[in-house]
Amino acid sequence: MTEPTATFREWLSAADPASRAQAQAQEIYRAALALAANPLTLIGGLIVLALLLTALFAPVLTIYAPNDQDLANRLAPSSSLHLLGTDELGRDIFSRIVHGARLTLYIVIVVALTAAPAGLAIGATAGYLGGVTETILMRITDIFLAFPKLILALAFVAALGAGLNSAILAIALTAWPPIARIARAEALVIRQSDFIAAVRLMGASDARIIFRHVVPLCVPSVIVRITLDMAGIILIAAGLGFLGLGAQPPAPEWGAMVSKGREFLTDQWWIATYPGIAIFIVSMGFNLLGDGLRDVLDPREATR
Amino acid sequence: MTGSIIKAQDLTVTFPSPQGPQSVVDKVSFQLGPEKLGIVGESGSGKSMTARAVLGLVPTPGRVTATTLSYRDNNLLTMPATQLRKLRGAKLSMILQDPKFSLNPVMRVGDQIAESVRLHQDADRRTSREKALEILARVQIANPDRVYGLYAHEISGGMGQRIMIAMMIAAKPDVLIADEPTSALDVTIRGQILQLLDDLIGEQGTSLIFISHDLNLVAKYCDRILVMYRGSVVETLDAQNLHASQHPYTKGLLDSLPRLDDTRTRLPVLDRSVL
Amino acid sequence: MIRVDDLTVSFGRGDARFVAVNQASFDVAANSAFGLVGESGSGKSTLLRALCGLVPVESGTFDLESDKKPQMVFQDPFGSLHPRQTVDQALREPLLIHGVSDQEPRIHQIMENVGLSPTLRFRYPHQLSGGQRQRVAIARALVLEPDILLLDEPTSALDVSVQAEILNLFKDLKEQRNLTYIMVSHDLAVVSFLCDAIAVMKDGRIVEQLSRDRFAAQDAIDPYTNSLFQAYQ
Repeated sequence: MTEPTATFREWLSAADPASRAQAQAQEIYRAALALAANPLTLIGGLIVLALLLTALFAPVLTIYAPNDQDLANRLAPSSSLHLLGTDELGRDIFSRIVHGARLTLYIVIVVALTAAPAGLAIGATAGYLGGVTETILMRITDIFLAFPKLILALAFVAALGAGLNSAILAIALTAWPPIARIARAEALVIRQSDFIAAVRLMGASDARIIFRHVVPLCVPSVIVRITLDMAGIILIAAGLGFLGLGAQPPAPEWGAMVSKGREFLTDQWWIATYPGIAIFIVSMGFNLLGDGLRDVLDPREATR
Repeated sequence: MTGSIIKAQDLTVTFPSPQGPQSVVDKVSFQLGPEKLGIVGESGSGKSMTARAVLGLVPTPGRVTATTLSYRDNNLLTMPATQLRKLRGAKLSMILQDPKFSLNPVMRVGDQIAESVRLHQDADRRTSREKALEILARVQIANPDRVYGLYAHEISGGMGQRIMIAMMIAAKPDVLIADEPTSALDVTIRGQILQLLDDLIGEQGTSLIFISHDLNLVAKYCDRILVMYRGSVVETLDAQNLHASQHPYTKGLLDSLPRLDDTRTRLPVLDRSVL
Repeated sequence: MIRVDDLTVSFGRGDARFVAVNQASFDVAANSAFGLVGESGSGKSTLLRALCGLVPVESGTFDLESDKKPQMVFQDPFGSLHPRQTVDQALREPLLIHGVSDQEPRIHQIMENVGLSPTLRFRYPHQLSGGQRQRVAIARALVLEPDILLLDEPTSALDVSVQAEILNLFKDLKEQRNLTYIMVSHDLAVVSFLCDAIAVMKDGRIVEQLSRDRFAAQDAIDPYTNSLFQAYQ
């Protein structure tokens, strides 16, 4: 005889989880419930989700290809044919914004996947080991932090050559130092805890302690920070695009679109305005989501 | 009853939870006269929350209800927030376990005492400073001039409690609530602090609510004791009768304490099923 | 038998040098419990941490006569468990570090030994009571089967009814597993209940050592020990 199958929701709220997977799923479920309880976070989450879906289904959502030119129909205002009008080459702006979501998401994901782990590893190692290692790692971090992000990114792009991938690399190089600082601050506190002393007594190596015990506790604040930083990253990417140092034409990068549209701003305001609105909405979405994540993931809340 | 300074009838504190409102304090009734009233109980018994409810300091989203909650016939539940705050500063006061949280971190401790003197005794700046130094000496601080200039983070736990008591001497409260005031202190210092607290109370006729998990300490120090368990008062008794208590919870707690000259090889475990 | 000789631990250098433990010497018989009592700042916890290598020793020697590392049970059951690891992970970690193969039965066994219900195995620390957390910490310390357990105020953050359960558990485990304890506490009665011999520390020095019988009878010579007894009254 098998037990009557419990519903998924019961499984998620059972008092005594029967496996590690269930225990972790329950933690995530609780965090998701807490996240969804805050309307602003929900809006932020929906914006980010919309960005994801837009990027994923871009070809389905649009009639025109982003680079299809229709010179007979250039600089056309919004109409039933072209929802948000066309630009100076007669390309459909709606289509370009939708496809531009792919570029934005690509930048955001690559930066998050490189800067966050790098910053986390450097910061947690510096904070846990202390001493000379910490001094060296943190002075390097300080050097990066001493320059304004956009200026530093500009310098890197100038050195690496213009292009989307060098823009991403430049942004990633400017994005890790704040992460490292946060991870170090967390690690400094964590290394004093008794549970770290306990694993040291068990004979765990420094690397094991850092990556299995210290890093998981730094992750929440790093996630919060990188989510909040996303807005800035998108703006820098757009800024580089605007200056012609990021994605190259004819790629439908939002910043580059604003830059091109600038020439027509007085008469054909929509060319620059709509991609600008897209940048604004997506940046705000990440900010709202980051604020909500901070409330839910703050490790100081979770330890007690 | 005349003579009762604080009167609480069916005092209840609830917090919302996914399973509906949970009572952390459940229909607690007591009266505080000119005495030292001890509230004992384990963690989660609601002893601290009872005191906070009296002072109007229950954190949100907690809700306080009662059929009566009054201070000298002033209804504390309906009192406007500004008036309650004034009352808290002047007449009802609190000492916490860690004085660092009660002291202003960016103000010298001496100035905090002097300010208290100025507020409550209507003294000018110079006299209030002198008074503050005088009070510091009275709470057996060896070098009042030096301590006057220290900040909260520069003082030890014992020193901090002395300074809290000094503030109370300046403020002359009518009712003082002390929440585990000596739990973080070493035993030798604990005795001195309790003595100071005793002097203060005796001198100014202050009523004391003394919250502690330490049954022996409360039995020795207080006049009357409320024993709390899971939000309710399970027993009210004179302090001298505590060790003769027949209530299964009180008796169970006392039995589970080891003694210096214990001959038992195992300690009895509290049987919660009979409670 | 554990033998500690002239052990000195200090922090800082030059004018800022602070001697936390000053030439402490004592012996602990195998399968006995040794208590270190004193007030905050007496150096008792530092001494305990020096014995397991968490704090460097400046001079003096100690011999634990065990090829296994001593394990420790800490005061604060909130802080001694990793907040994002389940009970199962906490108990498995030492086995993983030492490459022990029969992990499942050992985790089951140790949970049973310390009186933890198997239903608690996949709970996080914040879903456990203070007493349950301390049992997890004890289980974690014992899962590698050490000979020596160092106890740093292991019951002072617990309610008295829970303290009684944990003290009984320590007594049982000592017999079952042939353990030797060194316990630090400020609570004279707790030390007296569990320990066979007691050393009193003040300002980094051991001022007096007493057998349990003399300790229980408050038969001390040193004035500081007597003042502790006085305050206990």
